[in-house]
Amino acid sequence: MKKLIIVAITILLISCEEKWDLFRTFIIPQGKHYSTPRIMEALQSETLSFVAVFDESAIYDLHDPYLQSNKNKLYGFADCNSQHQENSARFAWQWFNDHLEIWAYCYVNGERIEKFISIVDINTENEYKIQLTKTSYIFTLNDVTEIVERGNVCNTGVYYKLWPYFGGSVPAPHKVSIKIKDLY
Amino acid sequence: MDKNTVVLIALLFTIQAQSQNIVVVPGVEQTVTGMQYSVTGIAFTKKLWGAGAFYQNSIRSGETSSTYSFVGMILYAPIVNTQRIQFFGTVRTGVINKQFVTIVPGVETHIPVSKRFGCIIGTGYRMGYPSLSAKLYWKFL
Repeated sequence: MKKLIIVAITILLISCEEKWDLFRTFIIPQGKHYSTPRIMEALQSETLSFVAVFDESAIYDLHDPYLQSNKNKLYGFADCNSQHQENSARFAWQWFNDHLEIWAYCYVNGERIEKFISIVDINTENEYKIQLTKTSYIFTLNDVTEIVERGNVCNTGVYYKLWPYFGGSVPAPHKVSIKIKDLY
Repeated sequence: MDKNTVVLIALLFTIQAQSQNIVVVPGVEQTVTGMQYSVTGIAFTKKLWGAGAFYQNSIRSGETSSTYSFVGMILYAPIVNTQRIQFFGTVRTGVINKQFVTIVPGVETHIPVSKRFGCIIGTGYRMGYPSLSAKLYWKFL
């Protein structure tokens, strides 16, 4: 019996599965900022690479140009042993001028830095990447790249991940759904 | 020798002095990034609480990761202990690529094959997904 268990486990472990293909769907309920599921996870590589898909729920109208330009957070991480409003790097998004805009959204030594990257279509898979180097965050969306200089942070520590968040100051005007799949 | 290494060695000596068994565990773990091999040294008390150190690295890397060394400490808490099978809760804490601190919870099933040898089946929560491990253990003290 024990030999059978060992053989079964061996077969399971050596079976070919080159890539896991798992989307996670994040839901931001109407009137809320935070998405579910709430996951505690830390960055474990110099590169955060993922695919994200927005659907029609990414379209919204806040009836105020200032509020409409508030950035919603997609996915990223806090820098080494930092709070995310001290040092962090995330992709952010907004529905603006009838387009879904993607931005690089960082805090560097407490100062917020936003850089426009590109426009994406809804119901389309797009590949996002944040590379962490000694001196900068390199944002890549499909073939478009933006670089943001890093602040004064340590090297070895906890880099906690940051998940979808609506706002800005205004919560989600309706339920928003985003699918994210990590690439390894 | 730096301060951290001295503290780690002193801790391991203290654990060994209190322990009932010293166990060496080589194994493999299937994670979402690919297969990894590991070597662990654990000291268990009479009541099967354990503490040890491990080294883990990738056998083949994923699309975006390069080298992947994971070094740290592991703690064991006994859940069920019978002559034929033992269940443990585990927590691994360590540093990946000398940069990323992480904590990995898990459970393990230890199946003795003989007085000194046995096999281990484990599962953990790695990088947001479950992982599966298979190991052998050797009690050499």
